Amino acid sequence: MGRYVLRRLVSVILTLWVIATLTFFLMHAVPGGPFSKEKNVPQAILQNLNAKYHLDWPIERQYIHYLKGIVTWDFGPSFRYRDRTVNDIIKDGFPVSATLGALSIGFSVIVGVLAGVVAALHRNKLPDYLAMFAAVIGYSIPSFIMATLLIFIFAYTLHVLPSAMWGRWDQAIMPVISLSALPTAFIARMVRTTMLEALAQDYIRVARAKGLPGRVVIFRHALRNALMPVVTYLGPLTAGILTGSFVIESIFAIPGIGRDFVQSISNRDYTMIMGLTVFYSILLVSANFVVDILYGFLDPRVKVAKGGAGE
Amino acid sequence: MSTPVAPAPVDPMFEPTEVTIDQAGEIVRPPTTYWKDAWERLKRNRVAIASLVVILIICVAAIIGPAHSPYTYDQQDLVMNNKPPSAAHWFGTDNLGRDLFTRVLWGARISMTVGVLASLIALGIGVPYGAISGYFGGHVDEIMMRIVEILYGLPFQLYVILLMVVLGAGLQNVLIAIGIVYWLDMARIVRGEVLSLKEREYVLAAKTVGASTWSIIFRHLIPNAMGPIIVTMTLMIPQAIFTEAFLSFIGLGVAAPMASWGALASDGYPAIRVAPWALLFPAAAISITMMAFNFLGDGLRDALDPWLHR
Repeated sequence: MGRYVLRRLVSVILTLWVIATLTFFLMHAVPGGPFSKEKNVPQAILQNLNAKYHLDWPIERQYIHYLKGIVTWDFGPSFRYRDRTVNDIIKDGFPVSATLGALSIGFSVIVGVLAGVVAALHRNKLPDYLAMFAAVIGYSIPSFIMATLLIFIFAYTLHVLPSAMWGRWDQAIMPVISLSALPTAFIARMVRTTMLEALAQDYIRVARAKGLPGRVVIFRHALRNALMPVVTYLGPLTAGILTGSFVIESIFAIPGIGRDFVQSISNRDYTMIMGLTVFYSILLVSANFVVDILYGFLDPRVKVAKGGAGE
Repeated sequence: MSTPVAPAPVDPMFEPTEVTIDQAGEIVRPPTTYWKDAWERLKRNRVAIASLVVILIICVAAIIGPAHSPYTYDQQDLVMNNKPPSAAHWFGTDNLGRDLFTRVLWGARISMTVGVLASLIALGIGVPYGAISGYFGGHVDEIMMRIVEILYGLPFQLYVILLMVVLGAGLQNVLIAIGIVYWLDMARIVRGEVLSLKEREYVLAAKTVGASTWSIIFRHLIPNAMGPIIVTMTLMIPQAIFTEAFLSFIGLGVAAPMASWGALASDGYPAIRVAPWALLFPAAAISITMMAFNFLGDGLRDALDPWLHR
């Protein structure tokens, strides 16, 4: 186990380095300097600006400076806001984004698993068809469309929910639903399949033969095994919720990092884009790492010690 | 269905028929190919067929629609702005008085082009990559899959966004950004297929008659992996359409005044109280198209993989 963790850790660090490097060189490949769009900047000011952001350094030196910054958890300045660094943005926005993300992940796992179990237990009957039909709809409507439609229906037409802002519980309902629609649908379908598989296993027959009540058979024996793929899905789920949050936060005016990220894109605030991308990547890669290790602990059948070949 | 083949010794009770040896091997029932069989199965899936029809209608509308519309996508009529749907403007008009029906038709063109071309790019890179990796195995596979694994660790959509920031808005750039990220899935699936297919007897047979490695991969293995490839492509198209819509929504998609569905929805959203139709029609277009592709993809998966049936 220890060796496996170590091996995964090395690959995590490698991945992060690739991400940081890729981001750096992509941003430096943008044609023109960051200040070339400004009108009539005197040469002296331009030089000062370039010196402030170390743009006058040779690129290797900038690259090393940038890597050093990441290692010491310093994601650099912002080109647009003189007094706000990327770290400030993260400090202000992350608690909000994390709350929204955690609520959405919780919602999609709970509702998705429930829907999947109900569908599997009523296979090829009405509840199954309804749940699976809803699931296809859920993953066919993009989150931002869902958000705008929800706002249109519940805020502007029925006037029952607030259309924006963040802080009260009822302001979280629509953002959470729009963010979790797709993962909920995905989990529901996945759980239905794995649940059907689990229910066909011999140990379920044994459990039934022992005379265990149906509830225990389903929840203790079948569901527990059917849940393993959901654990694997937690990594991609986090990634999906995170990218989804860019637009959702913008639409609902939620003061999280996602909104700042979209804003920095329209501002062409390159250092901010770079810093937030790397921050997001660290978050996601660590989430995947934790899920991988967790999986090894939860499922004794997975021989993580042997490397698990990544199949 | 065996027919007597060799002329038996004459027996008064049995008269030899006219069947010759050549006819004995004849197949009485019409032959069914894999594809015909799959089509028969797909036809029985009503939802999938309905989706196929919807997709065909959208394609036809996207191809011939714009030419037959009395308006152009950028024709403004400020007197007629934000008008609800009517006989003259089926989907109403937007805040600049542009005909929304025409713009949604043009949007169909862009979104469908993005969907199809992006998945073709993914196909073009992913299929050979996966096939080569799976067929050669060993160190080649190890290295090729390690690369895929590292790329897989990257947050996809973040990189599509980043690429779009660097490349700038535009149809071609959207295609590049989506295509170079989406081939990974395809490569993995094809590799998995090839890994199991290469152990089959026909591959051994092909090797025995001296087929070259490339012809084994491209003439034998890839055609036999076509089922999963088609399913993956069908499910990739809505993904690409979604990604493009997402990019357009945050202002990084196809450049104005052309507009994809995502851009239309994004334009329509601020005016949602005055002219909700400017949001609702593009939103419906995206959702219906994605739904149709998802249903069709599911149907195809069931139809093309008879072993999945229980």
